[in-house]
Amino acid sequence: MIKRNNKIKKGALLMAAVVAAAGIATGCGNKDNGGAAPESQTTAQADASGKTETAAPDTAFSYPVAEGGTLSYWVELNANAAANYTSLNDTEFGKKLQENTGITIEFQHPAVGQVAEQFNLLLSNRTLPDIIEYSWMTYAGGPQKAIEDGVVLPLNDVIDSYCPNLKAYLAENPQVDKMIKTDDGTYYCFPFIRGGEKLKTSTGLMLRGDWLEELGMEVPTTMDEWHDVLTAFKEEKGAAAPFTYWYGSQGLTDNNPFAYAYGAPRNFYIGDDGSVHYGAVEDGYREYLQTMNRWMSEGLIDVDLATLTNDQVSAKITNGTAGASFGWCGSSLGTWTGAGRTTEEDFTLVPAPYPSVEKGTKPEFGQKDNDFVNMGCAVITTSCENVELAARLLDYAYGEEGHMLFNFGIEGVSYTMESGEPIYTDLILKNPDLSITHAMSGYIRANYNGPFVQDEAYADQYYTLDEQKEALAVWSDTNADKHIIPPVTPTVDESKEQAQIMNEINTYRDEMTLKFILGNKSFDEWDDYVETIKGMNLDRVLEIQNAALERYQER
Amino acid sequence: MKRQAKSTIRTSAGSKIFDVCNVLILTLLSLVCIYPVWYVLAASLSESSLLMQHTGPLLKPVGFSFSAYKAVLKNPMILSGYLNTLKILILGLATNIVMTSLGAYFLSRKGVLWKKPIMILITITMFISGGMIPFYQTLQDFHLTDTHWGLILPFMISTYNMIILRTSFESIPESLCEAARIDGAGHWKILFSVILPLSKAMLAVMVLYYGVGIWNGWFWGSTILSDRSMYPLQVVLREILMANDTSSMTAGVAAGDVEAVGATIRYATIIVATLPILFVYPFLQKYFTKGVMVGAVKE
Amino acid sequence: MLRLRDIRKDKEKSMKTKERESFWIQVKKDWKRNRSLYLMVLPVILFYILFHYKPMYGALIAFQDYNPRLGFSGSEWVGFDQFNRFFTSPYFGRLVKNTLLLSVYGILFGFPAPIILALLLNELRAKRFKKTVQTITYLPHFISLVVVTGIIKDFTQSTGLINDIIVMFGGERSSLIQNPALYRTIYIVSDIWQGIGWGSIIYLSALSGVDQQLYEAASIDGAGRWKQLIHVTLPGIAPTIVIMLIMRMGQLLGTGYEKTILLYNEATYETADVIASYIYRVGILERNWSYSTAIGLFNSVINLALLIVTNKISKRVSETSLW
Repeated sequence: MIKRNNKIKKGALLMAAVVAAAGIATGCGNKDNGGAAPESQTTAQADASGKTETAAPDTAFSYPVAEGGTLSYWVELNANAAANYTSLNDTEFGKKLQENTGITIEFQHPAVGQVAEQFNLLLSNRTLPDIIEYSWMTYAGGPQKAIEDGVVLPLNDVIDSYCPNLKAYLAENPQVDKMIKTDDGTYYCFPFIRGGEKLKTSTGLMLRGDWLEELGMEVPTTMDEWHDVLTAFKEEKGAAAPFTYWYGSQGLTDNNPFAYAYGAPRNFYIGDDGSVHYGAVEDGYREYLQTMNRWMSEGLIDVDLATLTNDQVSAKITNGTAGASFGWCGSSLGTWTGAGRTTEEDFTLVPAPYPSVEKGTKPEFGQKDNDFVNMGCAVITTSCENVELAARLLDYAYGEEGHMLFNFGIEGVSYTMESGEPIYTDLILKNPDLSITHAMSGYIRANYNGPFVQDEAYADQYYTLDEQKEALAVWSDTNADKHIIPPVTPTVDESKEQAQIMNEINTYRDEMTLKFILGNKSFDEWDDYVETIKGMNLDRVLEIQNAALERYQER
Repeated sequence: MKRQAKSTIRTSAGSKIFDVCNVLILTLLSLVCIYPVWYVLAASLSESSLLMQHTGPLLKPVGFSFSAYKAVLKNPMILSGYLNTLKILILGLATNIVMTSLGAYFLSRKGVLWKKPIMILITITMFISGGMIPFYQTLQDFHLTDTHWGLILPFMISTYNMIILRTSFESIPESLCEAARIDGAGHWKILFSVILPLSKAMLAVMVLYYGVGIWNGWFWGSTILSDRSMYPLQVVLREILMANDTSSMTAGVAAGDVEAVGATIRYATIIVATLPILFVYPFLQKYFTKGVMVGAVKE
Repeated sequence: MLRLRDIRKDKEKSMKTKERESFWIQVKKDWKRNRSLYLMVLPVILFYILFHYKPMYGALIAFQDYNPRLGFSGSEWVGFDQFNRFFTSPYFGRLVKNTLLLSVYGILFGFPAPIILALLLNELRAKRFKKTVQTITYLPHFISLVVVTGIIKDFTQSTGLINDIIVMFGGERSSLIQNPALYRTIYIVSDIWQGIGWGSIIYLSALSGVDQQLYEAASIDGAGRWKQLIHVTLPGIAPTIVIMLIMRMGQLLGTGYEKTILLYNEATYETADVIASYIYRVGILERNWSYSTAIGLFNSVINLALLIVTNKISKRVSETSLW
């Protein structure tokens, strides 16, 4: 009996194996788009250079493009636009763009919030849309790899022949020129550029201006002054948690202003010696933690800091539990002021500069983006057949007419020229049915991103509160330019190694940071902390970063 | 057949105390469980600025305003969202129940040579899968992208559910099936006249499990459908949420500055999405009453 | 001696050929008897082949350095590299421990809870009250995690409701959600809170299938409610309980990331950080398809092994098992 069962079992398992293998085999033998890629990559590059070599740059070109044509364009539909439109084609902006350039665009939008997943699926298709707009620096291995994989078309000759606008802009702005090339000097995209200092800063400190007035105090500029102000908030205004912010936001805590004051951001930065440093192991960071620890034991910082949701932070600022915070110009300062004023007429939030240790010194660090931001970059793919057409379309944005369209919209409808300055109309700024961003999204792209140069005049008007306009000026007045790391590109293997190491280091750093601040770990153990991080191979990452930086300088 | 009322059996003091405690415990549990729902409802009817300032438990709306609902319902895709989901529900549930029943029936029979290997192969699929990209490519191969069938066919059977249904089918006494077989019934007849009628409670659970799965599903809908007018409800709601929400997990990492239009919209979205579910369960509850089945059949 | 052995060998040989013959005869017999059954299940089998086994080659991405553009056949093979990356992480032990502990505690406390609820509901006589409680308790399942974790945080922060109660009893305020020792409790209690109603549905359904006559027979034999519970009710729903438990064991290494990410903070990493949340953070730094697939495969294999072991144990101890 038992033996027979064994036979049956064996046979059954054999059957099972066969079925499974058959399934897997059919899967493997299945049309898999990978096979085509290596060949198409080389031929595409040959084609691209072949095509452009025969075309002579023509100066007699003007928009709209004479022969017209259609291009497929894959891009995320920004959430603000998605609120009211189902496609960029439906927006006035989209229509005007196609009208002015004479090119028909078939927009393809991934579902809102699904961009990364959809992007990967998109890549696995054999043919790609003509133009893809994405944050190409996040492509595994960087833009260089995207070219090698046969996805992106190298643009050096294309720009030379068909993109006079972009070419001129890059010539006038050499620091930007460096940012949008790969290490070996290849252009790969039509970038999103922040065209002014004020556009590069969006976060900073803010506190209750009405309270300061009442208490007869000035906006603090040094760490000591902050201590005094927060103490006054606590003792005289009854604020239970004088300073609080959304600690859980990576973007915010990477730019923690108090850490900046001591010259030690928690991440990488470029030191005065021109090489890459990791702030979290430096003495400045220890001083920052000690100050935080002290302030927390004095009740000046929210005890629940590390656990707050953004909603909870908003609640505390708007209902008076907290008097100072750190956040964004629009969604923090703007929104909170609006909400706070509904219950307290005098509710005002004023911006404070990034603090320093010594009075009167310009803050060395502050939040600042690079001119070239990793979003909204448009590339021409290797599947594009009419490269010239695509180039003309994308180059339009960098010319005078295109610049106005992308930033201000349609003259007479969304903006008017007053004494030579573009001013948004009431349709945008005072629309009864739509908020400002929603109204803007129908006409421009300046309020999110895209392949064009953002104009500062947009920010001046978008931020309607005086405090907001002041904030941009106050928060951007730092030497941060010297310290932010430019868009460097480690190699594929390097970035894998780096990500693995950094994930471990960051986990450890974040755990210990909180322990130090809360007082659960004594500062006697600081050296152990530094040793542990070094032992996790921090030096290897610094090596990688410095090497990438060197290659960047030589572009 | 008259059901012998339990109350004629002598109830001891201990029994009475237990009943009282039971009611107390369950009432307490209900209060605790209704709190999050109540919170969401109250928040959705609140005024945006006042809600923002509020901390702590929320027992009634702060301020009163329908603006959140207006913002959600003004989206023209809501109606098409409901209709699409309804269509997928009807077609989907039909295929789900049919396929799952066939599979569960097969797996519950005794004396079938290949049952065990098949069961093992099926169970393996609960653990090993090819991942998103090959699955998507499979859908493309079968031309199921951009169709509602693409949301139905590849999900016809949930192995988990099928195993549960199988367990239920197995508990039906063999004698009944034997009796039917003696009367000359083949497998189809047995399935339809013996097994299914006796499994109403578990089938109701299947309808609930599959139904809720379809109702709540948004991921594949947003992945394979490029025509927005085909979006099921949850995809539409999710887009509204993303367009109006700043406190999502990635808000801080990405572009940073996004206009906030009120958390009230998040809550209104949940209510709009969940309201129909509220009405489904009482509907199905009648299948869970005791003694409906075996007793009746024995007649 | 030799002769006996020869005889035995001959016997075995002929038995084997008999077995081989009888195996194929078995197959034929089985086919004859169950043909309609096999035809019935054919669509089901097709479903699994087409939608589960056909794309299954994708699991092999775990052994590659997958690049969506180059596809499956074009990506480089790296063997166990991705797995080694994970195993050699200094946090590997802690992550596995946290994942397992949360699951185990979840089973210890979270598994019985819906069963107990179903039993309590079953004892109710007032129909309307029973229906109401059923509907109310199953609602939290539908409230999104973002909202639920928001409420939990609100309650457990130093200014929250639970601290208010603690102060009433003479205790001190502290941020409960920042305390790693309390994290698991908070996680599991909130899981129960959100899932108890929904989870009880299947047991309620099973309860309605218990033969009423057994109850009548038991009460005639003088069994009170408690004895009826032990001897009629529980055995009646035992197969359902066992199967649910087996399948739950097959999810042991599966603690998801969404709730973890929403509920944890750096202060609670040591008990809160699980495999899934750690991988999520890696994914933000680097989009590596193969890495997450490898971890997923590792989880799946362990889970499958656990399932098989539990199934075997269950076969010995009870009559119910998956196969």
